[in-house]
Amino acid sequence: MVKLIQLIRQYWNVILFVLLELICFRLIVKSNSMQGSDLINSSNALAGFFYEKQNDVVTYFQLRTVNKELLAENARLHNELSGFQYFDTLQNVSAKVPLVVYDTVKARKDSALAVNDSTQPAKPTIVQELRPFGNPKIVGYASYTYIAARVINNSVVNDRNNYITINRGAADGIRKDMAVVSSEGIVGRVADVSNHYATIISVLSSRNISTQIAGGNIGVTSWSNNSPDFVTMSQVDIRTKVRKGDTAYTTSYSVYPENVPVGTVVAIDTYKVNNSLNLKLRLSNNFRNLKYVYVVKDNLGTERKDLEKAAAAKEKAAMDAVHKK
Amino acid sequence: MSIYLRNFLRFLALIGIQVLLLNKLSLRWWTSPNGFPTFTPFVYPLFILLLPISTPVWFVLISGFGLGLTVDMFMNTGGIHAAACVFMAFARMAVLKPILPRKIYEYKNLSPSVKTMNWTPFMTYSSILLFLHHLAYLLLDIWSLHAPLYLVIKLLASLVTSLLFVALYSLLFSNSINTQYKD
Repeated sequence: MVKLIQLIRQYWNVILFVLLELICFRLIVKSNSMQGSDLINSSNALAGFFYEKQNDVVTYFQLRTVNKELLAENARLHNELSGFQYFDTLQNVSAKVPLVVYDTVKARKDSALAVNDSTQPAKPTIVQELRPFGNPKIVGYASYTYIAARVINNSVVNDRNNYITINRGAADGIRKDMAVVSSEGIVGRVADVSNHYATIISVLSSRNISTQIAGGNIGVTSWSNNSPDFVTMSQVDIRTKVRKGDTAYTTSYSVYPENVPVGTVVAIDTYKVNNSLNLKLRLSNNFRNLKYVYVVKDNLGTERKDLEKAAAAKEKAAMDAVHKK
Repeated sequence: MSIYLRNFLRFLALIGIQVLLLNKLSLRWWTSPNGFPTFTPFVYPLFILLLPISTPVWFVLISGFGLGLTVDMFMNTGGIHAAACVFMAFARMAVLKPILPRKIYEYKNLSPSVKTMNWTPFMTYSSILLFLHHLAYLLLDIWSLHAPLYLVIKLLASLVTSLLFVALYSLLFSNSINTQYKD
Protein backbone atom coordinates (compact mmCIF):
# COMPACT_ATOMS: atom_id res chain seq x y z
CA MET A 1 0.00 0.00 0.00
CA VAL A 2 2.81 2.39 0.92
CA LYS A 3 4.50 1.49 -2.31
CA LEU A 4 1.34 2.28 -4.27
CA ILE A 5 1.05 5.68 -2.66
CA GLN A 6 4.71 6.32 -3.37
CA LEU A 7 4.17 5.33 -7.00
CA ILE A 8 1.20 7.66 -7.30
CA ARG A 9 3.19 10.49 -5.75
CA GLN A 10 6.09 9.85 -8.10
CA TYR A 11 3.93 9.88 -11.22
CA TRP A 12 1.36 12.35 -9.96
CA ASN A 13 2.03 14.83 -12.78
CA VAL A 14 1.70 12.20 -15.48
CA ILE A 15 -1.53 10.90 -13.94
CA LEU A 16 -2.95 14.42 -13.78
CA PHE A 17 -1.89 15.07 -17.38
CA VAL A 18 -3.61 11.92 -18.64
CA LEU A 19 -6.71 12.67 -16.59
CA LEU A 20 -7.04 16.22 -17.93
CA GLU A 21 -6.48 15.08 -21.51
CA LEU A 22 -9.18 12.43 -21.10
CA ILE A 23 -11.62 15.09 -19.89
CA CYS A 24 -10.68 17.23 -22.92
CA PHE A 25 -11.29 14.37 -25.36
CA ARG A 26 -14.61 13.61 -23.72
CA LEU A 27 -15.62 17.26 -24.25
CA ILE A 28 -14.43 17.23 -27.86
CA VAL A 29 -16.34 14.06 -28.67
CA LYS A 30 -19.45 15.43 -27.03
CA SER A 31 -19.26 18.71 -28.94
CA ASN A 32 -18.89 16.86 -32.24
CA SER A 33 -21.97 14.71 -31.81
CA MET A 34 -24.98 15.83 -33.82
CA GLN A 35 -26.79 16.93 -30.68
CA GLY A 36 -24.10 19.54 -30.03
CA SER A 37 -22.57 20.38 -26.69
CA ASP A 38 -24.66 22.05 -24.06
CA LEU A 39 -21.68 22.55 -21.76
CA ILE A 40 -19.09 24.80 -23.34
CA ASN A 41 -20.19 27.14 -26.07
CA SER A 42 -20.45 30.83 -26.61
CA SER A 43 -24.24 30.97 -26.26
CA ASN A 44 -23.82 31.19 -22.49
CA ALA A 45 -24.42 34.48 -20.73
CA LEU A 46 -20.76 35.32 -19.96
CA ALA A 47 -19.35 34.91 -23.46
CA GLY A 48 -22.45 36.47 -24.96
CA PHE A 49 -22.07 39.52 -22.73
CA PHE A 50 -18.44 40.13 -23.73
CA TYR A 51 -19.09 39.55 -27.40
CA GLU A 52 -22.03 41.91 -27.36
CA LYS A 53 -20.01 44.66 -25.63
CA GLN A 54 -17.23 44.26 -28.18
CA ASN A 55 -19.72 44.29 -31.02
CA ASP A 56 -21.38 47.44 -29.69
CA VAL A 57 -18.11 49.25 -30.36
CA VAL A 58 -17.26 47.65 -33.68
CA THR A 59 -20.73 47.95 -35.15
CA TYR A 60 -20.50 51.75 -35.51
CA PHE A 61 -17.74 51.39 -38.05
CA GLN A 62 -19.92 49.18 -40.20
CA LEU A 63 -23.06 51.31 -40.29
CA ARG A 64 -22.38 52.65 -43.76
CA THR A 65 -22.07 49.20 -45.35
CA VAL A 66 -25.04 47.89 -43.37
CA ASN A 67 -27.14 50.77 -44.68
CA LYS A 68 -26.06 50.08 -48.23
CA GLU A 69 -26.95 46.41 -47.93
CA LEU A 70 -30.33 47.19 -46.42
CA LEU A 71 -31.08 49.60 -49.27
CA ALA A 72 -30.13 46.98 -51.82
CA GLU A 73 -32.29 44.38 -50.12
CA ASN A 74 -35.20 46.79 -49.90
CA ALA A 75 -34.96 47.49 -53.60
CA ARG A 76 -34.84 43.78 -54.38
CA LEU A 77 -37.87 43.07 -52.19
CA HIS A 78 -39.81 45.91 -53.79
CA ASN A 79 -39.05 44.48 -57.20
CA GLU A 80 -40.15 41.03 -56.12
CA LEU A 81 -43.31 42.41 -54.56
CA SER A 82 -44.23 44.29 -57.70
CA GLY A 83 -44.41 40.98 -59.51
CA PHE A 84 -47.18 39.78 -57.20
CA GLN A 85 -49.34 42.89 -57.40
CA TYR A 86 -52.03 41.49 -59.68
CA PHE A 87 -51.92 37.74 -59.06
CA ASP A 88 -53.30 35.65 -56.25
CA THR A 89 -50.51 33.09 -56.38
CA LEU A 90 -50.76 32.16 -52.72
CA GLN A 91 -54.51 31.47 -52.74
CA ASN A 92 -54.39 27.88 -51.51
CA VAL A 93 -51.70 28.07 -48.84
CA SER A 94 -53.11 27.69 -45.35
CA ALA A 95 -51.44 28.81 -42.12
CA LYS A 96 -51.83 31.51 -39.52
CA VAL A 97 -50.37 34.85 -40.67
CA PRO A 98 -52.55 36.57 -43.27
CA LEU A 99 -50.91 38.13 -46.32
CA VAL A 100 -52.76 41.21 -47.48
CA VAL A 101 -52.61 42.72 -50.95
CA TYR A 102 -54.47 45.71 -52.26
CA ASP A 103 -56.64 45.09 -55.24
CA THR A 104 -55.51 48.01 -57.34
CA VAL A 105 -57.31 46.92 -60.50
CA LYS A 106 -60.71 46.97 -58.85
CA ALA A 107 -59.97 50.24 -57.11
CA ARG A 108 -58.95 51.84 -60.39
CA LYS A 109 -62.12 50.60 -62.03
CA ASP A 110 -64.16 52.09 -59.20
CA SER A 111 -62.43 55.42 -59.48
CA ALA A 112 -62.83 55.35 -63.25
CA LEU A 113 -66.55 54.75 -62.83
CA ALA A 114 -66.65 57.61 -60.36
CA VAL A 115 -64.96 59.86 -62.91
CA ASN A 116 -67.48 58.86 -65.55
CA ASP A 117 -70.38 59.49 -63.21
CA SER A 118 -69.44 63.02 -62.29
CA THR A 119 -68.28 65.70 -64.59
CA GLN A 120 -65.78 66.93 -62.01
CA PRO A 121 -62.18 65.74 -62.50
CA ALA A 122 -61.46 63.08 -59.84
CA LYS A 123 -59.01 64.31 -57.24
CA PRO A 124 -58.12 61.89 -54.43
CA THR A 125 -58.42 63.38 -50.95
CA ILE A 126 -55.45 63.39 -48.57
CA VAL A 127 -56.91 60.49 -46.58
CA GLN A 128 -57.12 58.40 -49.71
CA GLU A 129 -53.56 59.21 -50.62
CA LEU A 130 -52.26 58.17 -47.21
CA ARG A 131 -54.06 54.84 -47.38
CA PRO A 132 -52.48 52.12 -49.52
CA PHE A 133 -54.05 52.27 -52.92
CA GLY A 134 -56.85 49.76 -53.55
CA ASN A 135 -59.06 47.45 -51.52
CA PRO A 136 -57.39 45.16 -48.95
CA LYS A 137 -57.85 41.44 -49.54
CA ILE A 138 -56.33 38.41 -47.83
CA VAL A 139 -54.74 36.24 -50.48
CA GLY A 140 -52.95 33.63 -48.41
CA TYR A 141 -50.95 32.87 -45.32
CA ALA A 142 -47.21 33.11 -44.74
CA SER A 143 -45.59 29.91 -43.59
CA TYR A 144 -42.35 31.58 -42.46
CA THR A 145 -41.63 34.31 -39.92
CA TYR A 146 -38.29 36.12 -40.01
CA ILE A 147 -36.59 37.23 -36.78
CA ALA A 148 -33.79 39.76 -37.32
CA ALA A 149 -30.64 39.34 -35.19
CA ARG A 150 -27.21 40.92 -34.92
CA VAL A 151 -24.08 38.80 -35.33
CA ILE A 152 -21.91 39.30 -32.25
CA ASN A 153 -19.27 36.66 -32.93
CA ASN A 154 -18.23 34.85 -36.07
CA SER A 155 -15.45 32.47 -37.06
CA VAL A 156 -14.28 31.25 -40.46
CA VAL A 157 -10.87 29.72 -39.72
CA ASN A 158 -11.79 26.46 -38.01
CA ASP A 159 -11.29 23.39 -40.16
CA ARG A 160 -14.36 21.39 -39.26
CA ASN A 161 -17.12 23.46 -37.73
CA ASN A 162 -17.52 27.21 -37.67
CA TYR A 163 -19.95 28.89 -35.32
CA ILE A 164 -21.70 32.25 -35.23
CA THR A 165 -23.16 33.84 -32.09
CA ILE A 166 -26.18 36.14 -32.34
CA ASN A 167 -27.86 38.40 -29.80
CA ARG A 168 -31.30 36.77 -29.90
CA GLY A 169 -32.30 33.70 -27.89
CA ALA A 170 -35.15 31.61 -26.58
CA ALA A 171 -36.84 34.72 -25.17
CA ASP A 172 -37.20 36.03 -28.72
CA GLY A 173 -38.71 32.81 -30.01
CA ILE A 174 -35.58 31.18 -31.34
CA ARG A 175 -35.42 27.39 -31.06
CA LYS A 176 -32.84 24.78 -31.92
CA ASP A 177 -32.51 23.71 -35.59
CA MET A 178 -34.14 26.81 -37.08
CA ALA A 179 -32.69 27.95 -40.39
CA VAL A 180 -30.69 31.18 -40.56
CA VAL A 181 -30.38 33.30 -43.69
CA SER A 182 -29.12 36.77 -44.49
CA SER A 183 -30.07 39.24 -47.18
CA GLU A 184 -27.55 37.62 -49.52
CA GLY A 185 -28.04 33.91 -48.90
CA ILE A 186 -27.97 31.04 -46.47
CA VAL A 187 -25.99 31.30 -43.23
CA GLY A 188 -26.59 28.12 -41.22
CA ARG A 189 -28.84 26.61 -38.59
CA VAL A 190 -29.28 27.22 -34.87
CA ALA A 191 -27.14 24.87 -32.78
CA ASP A 192 -27.60 26.02 -29.18
CA VAL A 193 -29.95 28.50 -27.54
CA SER A 194 -29.72 30.30 -24.23
CA ASN A 195 -32.19 32.85 -22.95
CA HIS A 196 -30.78 35.85 -24.82
CA TYR A 197 -28.16 34.40 -27.15
CA ALA A 198 -27.90 31.62 -29.70
CA THR A 199 -25.06 29.93 -31.54
CA ILE A 200 -25.42 29.05 -35.20
CA ILE A 201 -23.47 26.30 -36.90
CA SER A 202 -22.63 27.99 -40.19
CA VAL A 203 -22.55 26.61 -43.72
CA LEU A 204 -18.76 26.38 -43.25
CA SER A 205 -19.07 23.09 -41.38
CA SER A 206 -19.50 19.39 -41.90
CA ARG A 207 -23.26 19.47 -42.48
CA ASN A 208 -24.77 18.84 -45.92
CA ILE A 209 -27.37 21.07 -47.54
CA SER A 210 -29.83 20.08 -50.24
CA THR A 211 -29.49 22.54 -53.14
CA GLN A 212 -30.83 23.01 -56.65
CA ILE A 213 -29.73 24.91 -59.71
CA ALA A 214 -31.88 26.46 -62.40
CA GLY A 215 -34.16 23.83 -63.89
CA GLY A 216 -34.66 22.13 -60.56
CA ASN A 217 -31.68 19.77 -60.68
CA ILE A 218 -30.89 18.76 -57.15
CA GLY A 219 -27.52 18.13 -55.51
CA VAL A 220 -25.87 17.96 -52.14
CA THR A 221 -23.73 20.88 -51.04
CA SER A 222 -20.96 20.52 -48.50
CA TRP A 223 -18.07 22.67 -47.40
CA SER A 224 -14.73 21.82 -49.01
CA ASN A 225 -12.92 22.62 -45.76
CA ASN A 226 -10.23 25.06 -46.71
CA SER A 227 -11.74 28.31 -47.86
CA PRO A 228 -14.54 30.41 -46.39
CA ASP A 229 -15.52 31.47 -49.92
CA PHE A 230 -16.33 28.18 -51.64
CA VAL A 231 -18.54 25.13 -51.20
CA THR A 232 -18.89 22.03 -53.39
CA MET A 233 -22.19 20.85 -54.81
CA SER A 234 -21.97 17.16 -55.68
CA GLN A 235 -24.26 14.39 -56.98
CA VAL A 236 -25.69 16.58 -59.74
CA ASP A 237 -27.09 14.66 -62.72
CA ILE A 238 -24.50 14.53 -65.52
CA ARG A 239 -27.06 15.56 -68.15
CA THR A 240 -27.71 18.86 -66.43
CA LYS A 241 -26.83 21.92 -68.46
CA VAL A 242 -24.88 24.21 -66.20
CA ARG A 243 -22.89 27.29 -67.05
CA LYS A 244 -20.41 29.21 -64.97
CA GLY A 245 -22.24 32.01 -63.23
CA ASP A 246 -25.46 30.06 -62.64
CA THR A 247 -26.89 30.41 -59.16
CA ALA A 248 -27.66 27.54 -56.79
CA TYR A 249 -30.63 27.79 -54.42
CA THR A 250 -31.87 25.80 -51.45
CA THR A 251 -34.65 23.25 -51.91
CA SER A 252 -37.64 22.77 -49.67
CA TYR A 253 -36.30 19.37 -48.56
CA SER A 254 -34.20 20.73 -45.72
CA VAL A 255 -34.86 23.15 -42.88
CA TYR A 256 -34.21 26.13 -45.16
CA PRO A 257 -37.02 27.91 -46.98
CA GLU A 258 -37.02 27.24 -50.70
CA ASN A 259 -35.05 29.37 -53.20
CA VAL A 260 -32.65 31.07 -50.83
CA PRO A 261 -29.43 31.69 -52.81
CA VAL A 262 -26.44 29.52 -51.86
CA GLY A 263 -23.81 30.59 -54.36
CA THR A 264 -22.78 30.92 -57.98
CA VAL A 265 -21.05 28.24 -60.04
CA VAL A 266 -17.36 28.96 -60.66
CA ALA A 267 -16.06 25.54 -61.78
CA ILE A 268 -17.61 22.36 -63.17
CA ASP A 269 -16.02 18.90 -62.80
CA THR A 270 -17.37 15.79 -64.46
CA TYR A 271 -17.15 12.46 -62.63
CA LYS A 272 -17.76 9.68 -65.13
CA VAL A 273 -17.37 7.03 -62.43
CA ASN A 274 -20.71 7.76 -60.84
CA ASN A 275 -22.22 9.81 -63.66
CA SER A 276 -22.33 13.06 -61.78
CA LEU A 277 -21.15 16.62 -61.86
CA ASN A 278 -19.28 18.37 -59.08
CA LEU A 279 -19.90 22.10 -59.04
CA LYS A 280 -17.69 24.49 -57.16
CA LEU A 281 -19.83 27.32 -55.81
CA ARG A 282 -18.72 30.72 -54.64
CA LEU A 283 -20.89 31.45 -51.60
CA SER A 284 -23.20 34.39 -52.10
CA ASN A 285 -22.61 35.41 -48.49
CA ASN A 286 -19.32 36.89 -47.37
CA PHE A 287 -18.82 34.94 -44.17
CA ARG A 288 -15.88 37.08 -43.07
CA ASN A 289 -18.18 40.04 -42.89
CA LEU A 290 -21.58 38.98 -41.52
CA LYS A 291 -23.42 41.67 -39.60
CA TYR A 292 -27.16 41.00 -39.52
CA VAL A 293 -28.99 37.72 -40.10
CA TYR A 294 -32.59 36.52 -40.08
CA VAL A 295 -33.62 33.45 -38.13
CA VAL A 296 -36.42 31.73 -40.04
CA LYS A 297 -39.29 30.36 -38.01
CA ASP A 298 -41.18 27.74 -40.01
CA ASN A 299 -44.82 28.07 -38.94
CA LEU A 300 -45.70 24.72 -40.48
CA GLY A 301 -42.43 23.10 -39.44
CA THR A 302 -43.70 21.07 -36.50
CA GLU A 303 -46.68 19.80 -38.46
CA ARG A 304 -44.40 18.69 -41.30
CA LYS A 305 -41.89 17.14 -38.91
CA ASP A 306 -44.60 15.20 -37.07
CA LEU A 307 -46.03 13.91 -40.33
CA GLU A 308 -42.61 12.81 -41.58
CA LYS A 309 -41.84 11.19 -38.26
CA ALA A 310 -45.16 9.32 -38.29
CA ALA A 311 -44.49 8.10 -41.84
CA ALA A 312 -41.00 6.92 -40.86
CA ALA A 313 -42.39 5.13 -37.78
CA LYS A 314 -45.04 3.39 -39.90
CA GLU A 315 -42.37 2.29 -42.38
CA LYS A 316 -40.19 0.99 -39.56
CA ALA A 317 -43.11 -0.94 -38.03
CA ALA A 318 -43.86 -2.50 -41.42
CA MET A 319 -40.20 -3.50 -41.84
CA ASP A 320 -40.14 -5.01 -38.36
CA ALA A 321 -43.24 -7.02 -39.13
CA VAL A 322 -41.59 -8.36 -42.32
CA HIS A 323 -38.44 -9.29 -40.41
CA LYS A 324 -40.47 -11.12 -37.73
CA LYS A 325 -42.05 -13.30 -40.38
CA MET B 1 1.87 43.92 -7.19
CA SER B 2 1.87 40.40 -5.86
CA ILE B 3 2.86 37.64 -8.22
CA TYR B 4 -0.57 35.97 -8.01
CA LEU B 5 -2.42 39.14 -8.91
CA ARG B 6 0.07 39.82 -11.70
CA ASN B 7 -0.52 36.42 -13.27
CA PHE B 8 -4.27 36.64 -12.83
CA LEU B 9 -4.35 40.02 -14.57
CA ARG B 10 -2.19 38.60 -17.33
CA PHE B 11 -4.69 35.75 -17.73
CA LEU B 12 -7.55 38.21 -18.16
CA ALA B 13 -5.55 40.47 -20.49
CA LEU B 14 -4.42 37.62 -22.72
CA ILE B 15 -7.92 36.12 -22.95
CA GLY B 16 -9.23 39.59 -23.79
CA ILE B 17 -6.64 40.18 -26.50
CA GLN B 18 -7.18 36.72 -27.96
CA VAL B 19 -10.96 36.65 -27.91
CA LEU B 20 -11.93 40.23 -28.61
CA LEU B 21 -9.09 41.20 -30.94
CA LEU B 22 -7.20 38.35 -32.59
CA ASN B 23 -10.16 36.02 -33.13
CA LYS B 24 -11.75 38.70 -35.27
CA LEU B 25 -8.83 38.50 -37.70
CA SER B 26 -8.72 35.73 -40.24
CA LEU B 27 -5.32 36.03 -41.81
CA ARG B 28 -3.77 34.39 -44.81
CA TRP B 29 -0.35 35.11 -46.23
CA TRP B 30 -1.43 35.34 -49.83
CA THR B 31 -4.47 34.51 -51.90
CA SER B 32 -4.25 31.58 -54.23
CA PRO B 33 -6.89 29.84 -56.33
CA ASN B 34 -6.72 26.66 -54.28
CA GLY B 35 -7.11 28.60 -51.08
CA PHE B 36 -4.14 29.20 -48.85
CA PRO B 37 -5.34 28.21 -45.37
CA THR B 38 -6.80 30.99 -43.27
CA PHE B 39 -5.74 31.10 -39.65
CA THR B 40 -5.83 33.18 -36.50
CA PRO B 41 -2.67 33.79 -34.46
CA PHE B 42 -2.82 32.55 -30.86
CA VAL B 43 -1.20 34.57 -28.08
CA TYR B 44 -3.08 33.20 -25.09
CA PRO B 45 -0.51 30.33 -24.58
CA LEU B 46 1.81 33.11 -23.41
CA PHE B 47 0.10 32.79 -20.03
CA ILE B 48 1.58 29.30 -19.62
CA LEU B 49 4.91 30.40 -21.08
CA LEU B 50 5.21 33.27 -18.62
CA LEU B 51 4.17 31.48 -15.41
CA PRO B 52 6.99 31.70 -12.83
CA ILE B 53 9.71 29.13 -13.40
CA SER B 54 9.31 27.45 -10.03
CA THR B 55 5.53 26.90 -10.42
CA PRO B 56 4.75 23.22 -9.65
CA VAL B 57 3.84 21.15 -12.69
CA TRP B 58 0.40 20.18 -11.38
CA PHE B 59 -0.55 23.86 -11.11
CA VAL B 60 0.71 24.56 -14.64
CA LEU B 61 -1.39 21.65 -15.91
CA ILE B 62 -4.55 22.77 -14.15
CA SER B 63 -4.16 26.43 -15.12
CA GLY B 64 -3.52 25.33 -18.71
CA PHE B 65 -6.73 23.33 -18.60
CA GLY B 66 -8.67 26.30 -17.24
CA LEU B 67 -7.16 28.64 -19.82
CA GLY B 68 -7.98 26.29 -22.66
CA LEU B 69 -11.55 25.77 -21.47
CA THR B 70 -12.12 29.52 -21.24
CA VAL B 71 -10.90 30.01 -24.81
CA ASP B 72 -12.95 27.00 -25.93
CA MET B 73 -16.05 28.56 -24.46
CA PHE B 74 -15.53 31.70 -26.49
CA MET B 75 -14.52 29.94 -29.71
CA ASN B 76 -16.99 27.02 -29.68
CA THR B 77 -14.24 24.45 -30.16
CA GLY B 78 -15.43 21.87 -27.61
CA GLY B 79 -12.22 21.02 -25.77
CA ILE B 80 -9.59 21.31 -28.48
CA HIS B 81 -7.82 24.33 -27.03
CA ALA B 82 -7.89 22.78 -23.56
CA ALA B 83 -6.30 19.57 -24.85
CA ALA B 84 -3.57 21.50 -26.70
CA CYS B 85 -2.90 23.69 -23.64
CA VAL B 86 -2.62 20.74 -21.27
CA PHE B 87 -0.22 19.05 -23.68
CA MET B 88 1.87 22.18 -23.90
CA ALA B 89 1.85 22.66 -20.12
CA PHE B 90 3.04 19.09 -19.67
CA ALA B 91 5.96 19.67 -22.04
CA ARG B 92 6.94 23.00 -20.45
CA MET B 93 9.32 21.70 -17.79
CA ALA B 94 11.06 19.34 -20.21
CA VAL B 95 11.83 22.27 -22.49
CA LEU B 96 12.67 24.71 -19.74
CA LYS B 97 15.20 22.49 -17.92
CA PRO B 98 17.84 22.18 -20.68
CA ILE B 99 17.51 25.83 -21.71
CA LEU B 100 18.12 27.36 -18.27
CA PRO B 101 21.73 27.45 -17.06
CA ARG B 102 20.95 26.91 -13.37
CA LYS B 103 18.79 24.50 -11.34
CA ILE B 104 15.06 25.21 -11.44
CA TYR B 105 14.67 25.89 -7.68
CA GLU B 106 17.23 28.68 -7.88
CA TYR B 107 14.81 30.86 -9.83
CA LYS B 108 12.45 31.99 -7.10
CA ASN B 109 9.40 33.90 -8.39
CA LEU B 110 11.10 34.57 -11.69
CA SER B 111 9.22 34.29 -14.96
CA PRO B 112 10.81 33.08 -18.17
CA SER B 113 11.07 36.19 -20.29
CA VAL B 114 13.33 38.21 -22.53
CA LYS B 115 14.83 40.01 -19.53
CA THR B 116 15.67 36.90 -17.55
CA MET B 117 16.69 34.62 -20.39
CA ASN B 118 17.79 36.83 -23.29
CA TRP B 119 16.20 36.79 -26.72
CA THR B 120 17.53 33.58 -28.23
CA PRO B 121 16.74 31.18 -25.38
CA PHE B 122 13.35 32.77 -24.80
CA MET B 123 12.31 32.58 -28.45
CA THR B 124 13.60 29.00 -28.67
CA TYR B 125 11.62 28.08 -25.59
CA SER B 126 8.43 29.76 -26.83
CA SER B 127 8.76 28.48 -30.39
CA ILE B 128 9.12 24.86 -29.25
CA LEU B 129 6.15 25.09 -26.91
CA LEU B 130 4.01 27.04 -29.37
CA PHE B 131 4.87 24.48 -32.04
CA LEU B 132 3.60 21.69 -29.77
CA HIS B 133 0.45 23.69 -28.98
CA HIS B 134 -0.31 24.48 -32.63
CA LEU B 135 0.42 20.92 -33.73
CA ALA B 136 -1.91 19.45 -31.12
CA TYR B 137 -4.58 22.03 -31.90
CA LEU B 138 -4.48 21.55 -35.67
CA LEU B 139 -4.34 17.75 -35.48
CA LEU B 140 -7.39 17.72 -33.24
CA ASP B 141 -9.19 20.32 -35.33
CA ILE B 142 -8.57 18.75 -38.76
CA TRP B 143 -8.66 15.17 -37.41
CA SER B 144 -7.23 13.56 -40.52
CA LEU B 145 -3.91 13.17 -42.31
CA HIS B 146 -5.42 13.23 -45.80
CA ALA B 147 -3.74 16.54 -46.64
CA PRO B 148 -0.39 16.61 -44.81
CA LEU B 149 0.89 19.54 -46.87
CA TYR B 150 -2.12 21.64 -45.92
CA LEU B 151 -1.49 20.81 -42.27
CA VAL B 152 2.19 21.74 -42.51
CA ILE B 153 1.50 25.01 -44.32
CA LYS B 154 -1.21 26.02 -41.89
CA LEU B 155 0.98 25.04 -38.94
CA LEU B 156 3.98 27.04 -40.16
CA ALA B 157 1.96 30.08 -41.15
CA SER B 158 0.09 30.32 -37.85
CA LEU B 159 3.19 29.44 -35.80
CA VAL B 160 5.31 32.19 -37.36
CA THR B 161 2.52 34.73 -36.99
CA SER B 162 1.91 33.72 -33.36
CA LEU B 163 5.64 34.02 -32.65
CA LEU B 164 5.59 37.53 -34.07
CA PHE B 165 2.82 38.40 -31.64
CA VAL B 166 4.72 36.78 -28.77
CA ALA B 167 7.80 38.86 -29.60
CA LEU B 168 5.62 41.95 -29.84
CA TYR B 169 4.05 41.23 -26.46
CA SER B 170 7.41 40.69 -24.79
CA LEU B 171 8.77 43.90 -26.31
CA LEU B 172 5.77 45.84 -25.04
CA PHE B 173 5.54 44.41 -21.54
CA SER B 174 8.98 43.07 -20.63
CA ASN B 175 9.97 46.24 -18.82
CA SER B 176 7.10 46.26 -16.38
CA ILE B 177 6.94 42.51 -15.84
CA ASN B 178 10.34 41.86 -14.41
CA THR B 179 11.68 44.99 -12.77
CA GLN B 180 10.69 43.82 -9.30
CA TYR B 181 11.74 40.23 -9.52
CA LYS B 182 15.31 40.54 -10.76
CA ASP B 183 17.78 38.79 -8.52
